[in-house]
Amino acid sequence: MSENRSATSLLSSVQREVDRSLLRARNGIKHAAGLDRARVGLSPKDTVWERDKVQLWRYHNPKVTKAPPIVIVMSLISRSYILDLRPGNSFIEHLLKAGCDVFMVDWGVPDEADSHNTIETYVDDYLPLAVSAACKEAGADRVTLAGYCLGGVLAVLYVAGHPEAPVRNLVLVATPVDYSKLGVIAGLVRQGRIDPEKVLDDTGNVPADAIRNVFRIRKPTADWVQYANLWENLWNDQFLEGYQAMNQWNNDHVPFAGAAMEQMVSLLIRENRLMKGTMRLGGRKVNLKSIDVPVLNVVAEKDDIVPLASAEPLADLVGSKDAENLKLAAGHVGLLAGRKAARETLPSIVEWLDAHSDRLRRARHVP
Amino acid sequence: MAPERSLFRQYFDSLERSVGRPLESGVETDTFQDSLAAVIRLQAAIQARLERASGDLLHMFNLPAHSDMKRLSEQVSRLDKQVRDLSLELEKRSDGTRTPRRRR
Repeated sequence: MSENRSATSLLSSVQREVDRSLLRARNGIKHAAGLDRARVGLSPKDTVWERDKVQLWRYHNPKVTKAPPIVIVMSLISRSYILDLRPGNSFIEHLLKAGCDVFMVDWGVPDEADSHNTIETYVDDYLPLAVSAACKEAGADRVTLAGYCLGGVLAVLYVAGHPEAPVRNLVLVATPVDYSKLGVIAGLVRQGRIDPEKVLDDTGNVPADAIRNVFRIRKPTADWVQYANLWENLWNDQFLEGYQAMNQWNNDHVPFAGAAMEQMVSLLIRENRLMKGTMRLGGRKVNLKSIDVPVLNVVAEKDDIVPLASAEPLADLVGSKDAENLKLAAGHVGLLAGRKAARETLPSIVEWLDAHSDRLRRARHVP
Repeated sequence: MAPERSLFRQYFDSLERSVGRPLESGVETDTFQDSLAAVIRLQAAIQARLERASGDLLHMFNLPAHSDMKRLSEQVSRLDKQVRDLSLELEKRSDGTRTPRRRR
């Protein structure tokens, strides 16, 4: 009897492996040939304002129940679709479902014409116009400003440098402030190592490949792990779709405007001015202590791009009485994407937003 | 309950960790970062020297070199930047937030 059972279970496991091998072969060919690329950034949206390469998007939401609207400031070196990865795994989708009116500032892909963009170009020129356009479009007098990674740095500098900015709340996710704790990424451009102008290409920008390579240096075996994960789960269509989307996130960077990068290296990395409170932009002092709006600083314990020690001090640097750190056991990507994000980070952010927003008496339809 | 790891995965993970951990701590060291910086500086110096040599050769035949194109492109982008700055200044003064609604 038991011999029969073990023979049946052996047969079924062989059968399962054969089935999986067939699926692996099919998906492997599709993946290698680049067919069935993950479709990302699918939430419907309109471009409501644009200037040069910068665009302000407004996402459709049939049921907006909260005010003020949220304006998300994207990082300068990543594509904005990473926050709207795929249905069911999207920060934007989560905010829309929670009843938020969501805007996104997308910086576009810099070329020669943008190589002279400085931090001031983004913080003093584009952001005030984009936020003002969002207010006008939503009929609001203030917004909740949210920044991810370098986008968080821009958001912080904008609010600190513009006391008149129509910002009611500030949400920062994985935002580096202490650059002495940034690890190898900052280590390479410290004084006496690589001069920033040496990494600029003919367009005057840091090429996207160089950014990708710096991220790859941190974890030299990350690619192997990814391939092992892929091999193990290649038979699983759903896994493959998620893998392609995450892979795209990891490898798809945009060039970094040369002038902004040189400024970032000298002011933030080499002189660590945000921590020292000596930051200057456009000839004026920008002190984080002048930020007095409520601040939520979301930090990841296992973040190896913006380590905890680099992001955590932000809540103490701002002048707000209502400033809190939300520390989560996740990595840089896992903060906003994946199952853990859906389970922990996103509900926590929405909960904070609920407590710092007004509930509309009647739900509004966007657009 | 976590799914059981396959034999392949167990071997792979132990191999990856035994190689990955020292590599990860290696890249954090000053020695690695100084060496990498030196390699990048050397690469840039070689490239600059090659560009100079090829530029001299092209100039002998009165042909534009890469450096000339780069200079021209740089001048155009500076000009473009000035136009953009002026136009931004105008937009800020008029608080004119152009709103071209386009479905994406």
